[in-house]
Amino acid sequence: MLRIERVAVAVEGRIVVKRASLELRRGEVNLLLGPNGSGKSSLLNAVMGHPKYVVVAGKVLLDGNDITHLNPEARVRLGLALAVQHPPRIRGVRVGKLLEKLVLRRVKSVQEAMKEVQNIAKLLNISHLLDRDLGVGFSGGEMKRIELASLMALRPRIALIDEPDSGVDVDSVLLIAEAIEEMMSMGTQSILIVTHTGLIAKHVKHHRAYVMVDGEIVAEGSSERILPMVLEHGFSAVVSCAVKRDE
Amino acid sequence: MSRDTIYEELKRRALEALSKPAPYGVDIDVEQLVNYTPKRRVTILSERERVKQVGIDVSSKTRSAYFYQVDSRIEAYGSLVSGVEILPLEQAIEERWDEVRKYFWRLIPVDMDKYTAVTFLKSSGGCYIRVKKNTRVDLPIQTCFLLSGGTQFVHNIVVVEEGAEATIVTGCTIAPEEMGLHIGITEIYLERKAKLVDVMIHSWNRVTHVRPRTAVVLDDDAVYASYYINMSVTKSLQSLPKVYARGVNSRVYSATIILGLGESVHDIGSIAELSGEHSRAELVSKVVARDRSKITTRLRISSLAPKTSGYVECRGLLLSETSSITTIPELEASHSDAELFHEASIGKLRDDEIEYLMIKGFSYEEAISMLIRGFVDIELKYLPPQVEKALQSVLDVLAKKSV
Ligand SMILES: Nc1ncnc2c1ncn2[C@@H]1O[C@H](COP(=O)(O)OP(=O)(O)O)[C@@H](O)[C@H]1O
Ligand SMILES: [Mg+2]
Repeated sequence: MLRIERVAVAVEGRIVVKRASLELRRGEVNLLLGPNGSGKSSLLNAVMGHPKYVVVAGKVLLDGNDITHLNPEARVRLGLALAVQHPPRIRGVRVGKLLEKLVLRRVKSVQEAMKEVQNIAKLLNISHLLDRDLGVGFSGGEMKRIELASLMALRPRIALIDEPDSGVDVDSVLLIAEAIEEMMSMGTQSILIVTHTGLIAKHVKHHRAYVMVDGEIVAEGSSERILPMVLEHGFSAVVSCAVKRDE
Repeated sequence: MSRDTIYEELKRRALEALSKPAPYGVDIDVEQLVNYTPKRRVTILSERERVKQVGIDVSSKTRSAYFYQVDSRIEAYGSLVSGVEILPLEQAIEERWDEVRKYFWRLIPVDMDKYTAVTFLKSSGGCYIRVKKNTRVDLPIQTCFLLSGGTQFVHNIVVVEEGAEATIVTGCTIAPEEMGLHIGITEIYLERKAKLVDVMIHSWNRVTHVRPRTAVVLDDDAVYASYYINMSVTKSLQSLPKVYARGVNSRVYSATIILGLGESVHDIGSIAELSGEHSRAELVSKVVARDRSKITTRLRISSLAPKTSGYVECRGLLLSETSSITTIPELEASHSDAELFHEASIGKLRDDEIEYLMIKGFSYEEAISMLIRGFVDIELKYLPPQVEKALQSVLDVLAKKSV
């Protein structure tokens, strides 16, 4: 469904992703692993069309169509969505209102949208946050749950989820895993999860894994094989034992 | 003193002040505007949509009383509930002088500046509103002042008797592209345990000057909440309402929201003087400057009695390199147990916030407008639900207009 072909990404004039190719197939949950600073978030932001993360080489194909230069709004409309790693705090923008606006992109009636927001909030245990300003005074777990809620509100065909399990309590991880399952059952066809702890992988069924080091995808393959290797021996071990990429 | 003597004295003082400029704001040549003739005379009905934008829905059955004035002509007024009296101030002066004299130019000195002076001398309309003891109306009292062009000098007096509660929604606007000067003198008296919510929504044009002059006095346990919103291009607007919290345990809340567009110059704020023990004031301003507009906000609390407290918040948002904002929060205390503090900030929209919303699928314009809506999202206190909803949608419109 989504193909990232030899993409290089620049942030403020500096290349932070040198060359990344990966593919998200229908019905799969894929993992993107890699040490801090290797370029995972930059890649995801570039795929969404974030104005600061510029694709300077390669292309992004969605259902075979080149979307490399579309604006984020158009990409969301085509069914792509991202739960970011570090959402900003925004005073005056209430969580509930934001979610409602997202739901209203595909639902006509405000009443229906409000109801859906209530259901999403219940599932992710954020009902108590709906009237609060986005991110202001939230815990790590609450932030991540709200990001997941924004995905559920958008109901994308392809979901990109950036480190849902970092700085998060176990209960939040479980809720997020549940939300991911729910999304799959509501029409999300393919998911990419960035994780460097692997925590979320314990609770969500996954298929393939990519490993990114220093701005490059250095390994890919069955996640069952790669994940334990990474968790046991670290990323450098994966590079040196050179899990061959099936290009 | 007889009415004639009082008038003579006011007249003498007004004449002396006719060329006295206000300490703030651009000085205006009133004479030139007095002689201006508008191209076309408008009526409230012909400007139905325009007045709707300032919160006045003339078709609405959801009002407790109303007063509609165009230029110096009072078009319609009336009350739908027995506890609310509303009539032209001039009529009240004629028929009930002994009552009205207690309020007439008592809170605002007639010689405060040339604008108060000219309003006394050329007064053209305005209303007298009296909310009777223990009357509580949820539905707003609507007052609307529409200007075809030229000058409008309005004098209003509002009295809320003991234990009564009311909301006034005032909408003021002018025909497009017509030169104008609007001066509104408003003297408000809140008796013991009275509560007044005073919502004012303005929409002017690039050649209109506006000089409201408001003063309010509160008796024991009274509550005064004011919301002032201007979201249109305005040549110049200067206003500094003064609230005297004289009663014990009285409460003042004031929120000022300005969208500066085009070449608008705003100098606006409020002053709360706390001379009743345990009284408290919260003054908030949220101003957004775009284009080449200039906004100055002055918020001041004076604690003159024991156990008074207050909070001032001045926030400014600059949307262009050519606009400017000055915020002047001021606290004064003459008692050691007064508790006062302020917060002030001026900034611009943050890129990471815009980008985040864009990643979620909003266009750049939608993102900006959501952030501005968030910026002006003040605490809507003391408002009856219907008025709160109306105010929310006015702020929605303001956010859209700011992009
Ligand atoms: N907005 C940004 N501005 C400047 N540098 C950035 C920005 N985002 C990412 N980078 C840089 O890009 C590199 C990769 O970062 P990132 O994509 O966040 O890695 P990861 O998600 O794998 O931890 C880092 O060196 C980081 O400092
Ligand atoms: Mg990251």
